[in-house]
Amino acid sequence: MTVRLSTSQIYNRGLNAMLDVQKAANRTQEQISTNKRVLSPADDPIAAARILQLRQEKANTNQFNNSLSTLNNRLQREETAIAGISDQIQKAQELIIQSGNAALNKDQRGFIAVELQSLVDGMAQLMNSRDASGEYLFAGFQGKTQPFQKGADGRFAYQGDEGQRFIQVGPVTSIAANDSGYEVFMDIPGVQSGFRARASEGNTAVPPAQIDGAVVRNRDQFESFFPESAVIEFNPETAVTPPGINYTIKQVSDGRVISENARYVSGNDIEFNGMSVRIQGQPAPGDTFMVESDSSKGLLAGIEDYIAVLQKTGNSTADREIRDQALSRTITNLDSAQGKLLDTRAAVGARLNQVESAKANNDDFDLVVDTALSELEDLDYAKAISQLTQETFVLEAAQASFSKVSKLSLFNYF
Amino acid sequence: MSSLINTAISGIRLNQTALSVTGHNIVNANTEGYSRQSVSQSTTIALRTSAGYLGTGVQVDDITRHTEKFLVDQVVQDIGTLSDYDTYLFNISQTNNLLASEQTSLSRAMNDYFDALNEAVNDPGSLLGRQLLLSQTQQMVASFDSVESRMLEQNSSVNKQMQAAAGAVSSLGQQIAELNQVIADSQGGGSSQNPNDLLDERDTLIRELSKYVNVNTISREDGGLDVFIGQNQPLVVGADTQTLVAAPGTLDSSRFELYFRKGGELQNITRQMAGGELGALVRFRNEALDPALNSLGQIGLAITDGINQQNQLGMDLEGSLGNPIFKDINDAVVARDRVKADSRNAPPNNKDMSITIDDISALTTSDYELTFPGPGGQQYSIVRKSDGEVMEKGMLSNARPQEISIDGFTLSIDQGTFSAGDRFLLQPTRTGVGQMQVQITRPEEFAFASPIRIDSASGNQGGAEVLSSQVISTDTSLFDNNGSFNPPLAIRFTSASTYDVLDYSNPANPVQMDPPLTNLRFVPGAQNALLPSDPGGTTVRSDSAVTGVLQIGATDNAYPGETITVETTDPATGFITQQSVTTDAAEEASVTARRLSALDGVSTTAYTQTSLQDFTTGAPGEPLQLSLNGEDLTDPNFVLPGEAVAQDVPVPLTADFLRDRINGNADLAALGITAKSDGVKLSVFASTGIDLKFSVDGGGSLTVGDDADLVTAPLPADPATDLTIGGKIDVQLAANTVLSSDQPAGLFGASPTAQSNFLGVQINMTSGSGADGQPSAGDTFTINYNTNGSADNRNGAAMLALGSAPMLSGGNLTVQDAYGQLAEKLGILTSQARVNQSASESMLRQSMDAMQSVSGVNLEEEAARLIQLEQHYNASARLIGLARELFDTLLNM
Repeated sequence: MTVRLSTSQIYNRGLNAMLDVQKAANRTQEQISTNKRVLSPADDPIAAARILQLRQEKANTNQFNNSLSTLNNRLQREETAIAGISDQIQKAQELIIQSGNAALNKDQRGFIAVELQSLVDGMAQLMNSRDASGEYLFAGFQGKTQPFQKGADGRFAYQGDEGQRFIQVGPVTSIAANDSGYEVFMDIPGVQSGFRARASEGNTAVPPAQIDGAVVRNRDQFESFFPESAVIEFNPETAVTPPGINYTIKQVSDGRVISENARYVSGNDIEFNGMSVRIQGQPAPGDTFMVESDSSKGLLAGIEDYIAVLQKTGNSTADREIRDQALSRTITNLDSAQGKLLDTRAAVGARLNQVESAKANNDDFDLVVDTALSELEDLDYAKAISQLTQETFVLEAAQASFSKVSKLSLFNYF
Repeated sequence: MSSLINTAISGIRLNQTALSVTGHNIVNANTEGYSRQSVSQSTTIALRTSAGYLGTGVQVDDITRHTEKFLVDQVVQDIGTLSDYDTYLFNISQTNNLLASEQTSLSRAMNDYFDALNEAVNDPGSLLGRQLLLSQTQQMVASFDSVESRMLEQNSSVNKQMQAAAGAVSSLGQQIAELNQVIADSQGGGSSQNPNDLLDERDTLIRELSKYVNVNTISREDGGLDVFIGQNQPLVVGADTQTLVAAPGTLDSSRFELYFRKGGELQNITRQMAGGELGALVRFRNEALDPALNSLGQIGLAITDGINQQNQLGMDLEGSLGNPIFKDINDAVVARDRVKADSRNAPPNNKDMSITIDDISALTTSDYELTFPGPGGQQYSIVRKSDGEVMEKGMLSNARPQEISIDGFTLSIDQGTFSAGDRFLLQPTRTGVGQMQVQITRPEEFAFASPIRIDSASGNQGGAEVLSSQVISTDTSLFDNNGSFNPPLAIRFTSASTYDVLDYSNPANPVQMDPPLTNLRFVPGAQNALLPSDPGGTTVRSDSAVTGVLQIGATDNAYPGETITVETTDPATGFITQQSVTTDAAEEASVTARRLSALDGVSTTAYTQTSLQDFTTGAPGEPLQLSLNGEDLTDPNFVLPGEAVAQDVPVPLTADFLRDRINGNADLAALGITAKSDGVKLSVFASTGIDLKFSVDGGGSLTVGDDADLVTAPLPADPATDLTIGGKIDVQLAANTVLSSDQPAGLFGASPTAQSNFLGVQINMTSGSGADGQPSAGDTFTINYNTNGSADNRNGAAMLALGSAPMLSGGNLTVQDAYGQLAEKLGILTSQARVNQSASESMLRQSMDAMQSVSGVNLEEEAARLIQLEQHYNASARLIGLARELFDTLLNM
C-alpha cells in the first residue's frame, strides 16, 4: 500500500530534518567556540561528576601548596637562626679557651667575660627570632611570649613551652613547622646535674613573687639529693609566732619535710641540700615554688655559669682549679649544644627536603589532574571541525533540495 | 429528455458540492486540526422502465471527514508525553546548571572556605588570616543562601506554572463541555450527519488539553466525549465539567497542590495527576527539587555542626574556650520549624513539637510524615517519604515531653493532644541552609589552639614522651571556669608500668582525683591512652567499712564472700546483659579484681596500702621484729643489693631503714610491694591489691594504718602477732553499666556509688621498652591550661580535617562528596530527561505524520481533483447542452 502524503507532511518532514541538522551544527559550533566538550553537566553526567571531583582534588593540592610555602618560610627562618647561633657558639668556645690562658690577669678575663656576655645576648636575640607574622619561632605554643627573657639576676630564662606546630601538607602528611626553644636550646644533656627553680602556675600573690638565683652551693650534698626535686610551699602566716610569712620545703616524691615553717625574707638566699635559690616579693599562703632537678644544661645557662666563674675567680691556685674545671665543663656543654643544633639543623633540612619533594609531587599530580580534566571536558578540535563541516554540508543540501522540491506544484500549470 | 436534463443537473449539483468541498480543503490546508473532507456520492434511485431500470443521476450521500480515532488518540498521548519531558527538562536544567556550573557551584564556595581556614590555621596567631577566614565564612554562608534562594524561586515558579496550567485545564474542560452540547444538539435532530468542523475543533481542544495533563476520552452515544485527566479523574462528563485549581498545600503551604473545586470544598488530586505539564511539575518537585534542597540542608548542617563542635573544643586567640561559630543547629526556633502541622488537623491547636538533630552522619535527605491513623489520638506512625518505610509506630503515652528518635534526629512532643487523622510533616534537613548564620563577629574567636598543654618535668629521668593530646569535650568540670583548666592534672609514673593521675592544684601536695585514677597500667614501648575516654564511664570504689581495715591477729583480710553483678543496658534496645562474679570469703582484692576485669565493659585497678610509724623497741635484747608477707625485714644479715655488708638494724626501727629493706627485697618487688618514707612514716603499697601481711614480734610497739592502731609486739618467747590489711578495688565501668552486690556488708557496701570518671581530655604517650627508655618512677607530666598558646594550631588542624572527614551518610561521604553526589544525581536526571524528551519528540513526529497521512490535505491531490471536477462539470454541462440540442432538433422537425 502506498502511503498517502499530505502537503503539511511534506513541509514538516523537510523542515524537521533541517531543524535537526541546524541544532547539531549549532551545538558543535558552541563546543568549538568554548573549547568544552561538556557544555552542561547533563551532557555527560558521569564526566561532570568526575570533573567536579578532579576540580576538588586540584583545590586540595592548591591548599597543600599554600601550606608548603608557609612551611618553607618558617623552616628557612629557623635554619637561619640556628646557623647564626651555631657560629656564635664557635666564637664563644674560642673566647672560653682563650680565657683559660694562665697569663691573663683578672681584668683581661673581665673583658672576655663582657665579650662572652655580648655573645650570650646575641644568641638570645637569634633565639627570639620571629616568623613572617611576628610570632616567636622558638616559643612553642606561646608565639606572642618572648621565649628568652633576662631575669633580675641577669640570666636568661625560658618562658615558652614544649609545643610544636604541625602543618598539613598532604592528605595524611603533616610536617613540623617549628622546634620549641626548650627542645633546641634547653634540653641538652649537661656534664653535671643541676636544678631549675620556677614559680608554680597557680600562685595567687599579686604581683607574683619571683624565684631565681638557682645555684649549687655544695656539689656533694646536691649530688646525694639528685634526682629528687623539692617544693617550697608558703604557709599561713599564723604557722609561726609571731605571725609572719613562712615556708616549708618538702621533697616532692614522698613528701619528706626538708625544712619546716622557716621565716621568709624577700631576696635572701634559701639554701638546702646543697642548693640555693632566691625568692623576691610577697608570696601568698599556698603559693609554691618548684625546685626541680635537671640533668640538662641550657646553652645560654652554660655560658652564663662560666661568665660568673670568670668574674668571681682570681689568680689563686684554688680559683685556677675551679676555673679549669668550669672551662672544661663549659666546653663539653657547648659541644653538646652544638651537636644538638646540628641535629636540629639536619632535621630542619630534612623537612625542607620533604617540603620540596612534596611540592614537586603536587606539581606532578596537578599535571595528571589537568590532563584528566582536559580529556574529560576539553574538545577534540579535529573531530569537532570535521563534524561541523559535515553538518553544514548536510544542512545546505537539505535546504537546496527542499526549495527545489517545494517548487513543484500542479497549481503551476493552471 | 427531462430525465436526461435531471440527470445532468444532478451531476452539476454534485460537482458544485464537490468543488466547494475541495475548495474548503484547499483553503484549510494550513488550518490547525483540520481534517480533510471528501464527498461520498451514489447513484440516485433508478426508474423502472420496460427496458429495465433506468439511472436517474447522482447524489451526494455525505461529506466525510477523514480521521482515525486511534491515530488521534496516539497523537494526544504523544503530545502529553512530550510536554511532560519538555517541562521537566526545562525546570531541572535550571537546578542542574545552578548546582554544577563552575560559577555558582557550592563546591567552590566550600573550597574557598577550607582554603582560608587552611591559611589561618597555618598561621594561627595572625589576625589577617583570621579576618580573611571570617569573611570567607560569611561568603560561604551567603553562597549557600543564594543557591537556596534560587531554588526556592524555582519552587515558586513551579507553583505559578501549576496555577497557570490548572487554569488552562479548567478552561479547556469548559470549552469541550460546551462543544459536546453543540455537537449533541446538532445530531439530536435525527440527522445522521456529523458536524465535521466542530469535531475537528473538539479534537484540537483535547490535543491542547493533553499538553497540561494526561488525557483519556470515551465517546458518548449522543456524539459527546467524556474526558478523564491524570489517573482517570473525570474532568468533562457530557456537558458537565469540573474546575481544577492549584492552591497552597495543607501540610506545606509553600508547595502548591492540585484540587478539584466542588462548591466550597477542595478535593486534593495531586497524587492522581500524571503526564503533561502538571505531571512533570509535581514529579520535578518531588524527585529533584525537594531532595536537592534537603541534600543542601544536610551539607549545611554538617558544616555548621562540625565546625561549631570543634571550635568549642578549642581555645581562642584571647585564651577563652571557643564559642559556636554558627548559630546552634538545634536552636529552639529552628528545631520547631522542622515540624509542619496540616492545616486541617483537628482542634485544639495546642501542639508544641520540635526536632533536634543528634547524629549528622545518620541523617537521610528524606522528609518524614507523622500520622495518627486512629482509632483515638494515640496510635501514631512515622513514615519515611523517600521509600515509604514505616520507621516507628505505636501508642503515644500521655507523658509530655515524649521523644521519638529515628535516623539521627529526635522528634520531641513537648505539649499537645492529638486526634485520629492528624498529620505532620517532619523535615529534619530542609531548613539546614536557612539556619546557617555566622554568629561570631571578631576574628579572634576562632579557637585554633587546644586548651590544654602538657609539660614534662625537667627532672624526668625516663624516656616517656607525649605523642598527642585531644580534647574530647569541654563540658566537664575541668573546664567549668572559662580560661582555666581546674584542677591542673599531673601524670606521675610510680614505676615503669604504672602511673597515677593526680590533682596538681598544689604542686607541693598532689592529691588523688575523685574518683581516683591511681595505679593505672602503662605498657612501655606501646602507645598508651592514659585517661578514661568513655563519656558515660563511671568508677565504683570499694570504699566500704570492710575494705582495707587492719585485722589484728588474723592472717586474712576478713572480707565476706559476695556475688558482684554487673548489668549493662543497651541504650538502643533497652536489652540488659548481666554478668556476675562470686567471690570467696577473704579473697584477696588482687584476685577479685582480676576476675572482675574479665567481664565485658569492666576494668579494675586494685591496690593495698597502709602506713607504719611510731616504732619503739622493747627492753634491751628484745628489739621489735617485723616481717612482711613472709620476708623478715629486721634480719641483721640481709645485704641490700649493690652493697657489700649488711646494714645495722637501728634501734628503734626507722622508717627510712624499713623503706630500703622493702624496696631492696626482690621477693617483695615481685609481689609489687613498694615503700616510701618521709622520715617518720613508712607507707607500704602493694600495686596488685594482694593482702599486706605483717607479723610483729620481739617486744616494743608500732602504730599501723591511718587510724594509728597501736600494736604491741609480743615477747620473743610468745607467738608473733599477725596483722593483715586487705586491698581496695577501683572498678571502671563502661557507659550504661551498673555494679551491684548481694552482700550489703561487702567490698562495695550496700549501695555502691558510681562516679563519672570522664575528664574530657585524652593523653597519648609512649616510651622506649628497654631499661633506659621506659618511664622512671617519679617522672611527671603536667596538664595545664594552654595560657598564651596563641601559636598553637592543634584544634585548628582538627577543624581543617573536617573538610576531608566523612561526616555524612553513615560516615561514608565528606561534605564535598555529598555535594558531588547531589550534582551527579541531578545531572543524570537531566540527561535522562533530555533523552526522553528527544525520544518523545520523534514519537510525536511519527504519530502526527501518521495522522496527517490520513487527515492532512494534499494540495496536489486537490488540484488534480479540481481538474477532474472541472472536466466532470464540463461533461455534465455538455449533457444539458446535448439535451437542449435534442429538444431543439425535435422542435425544428
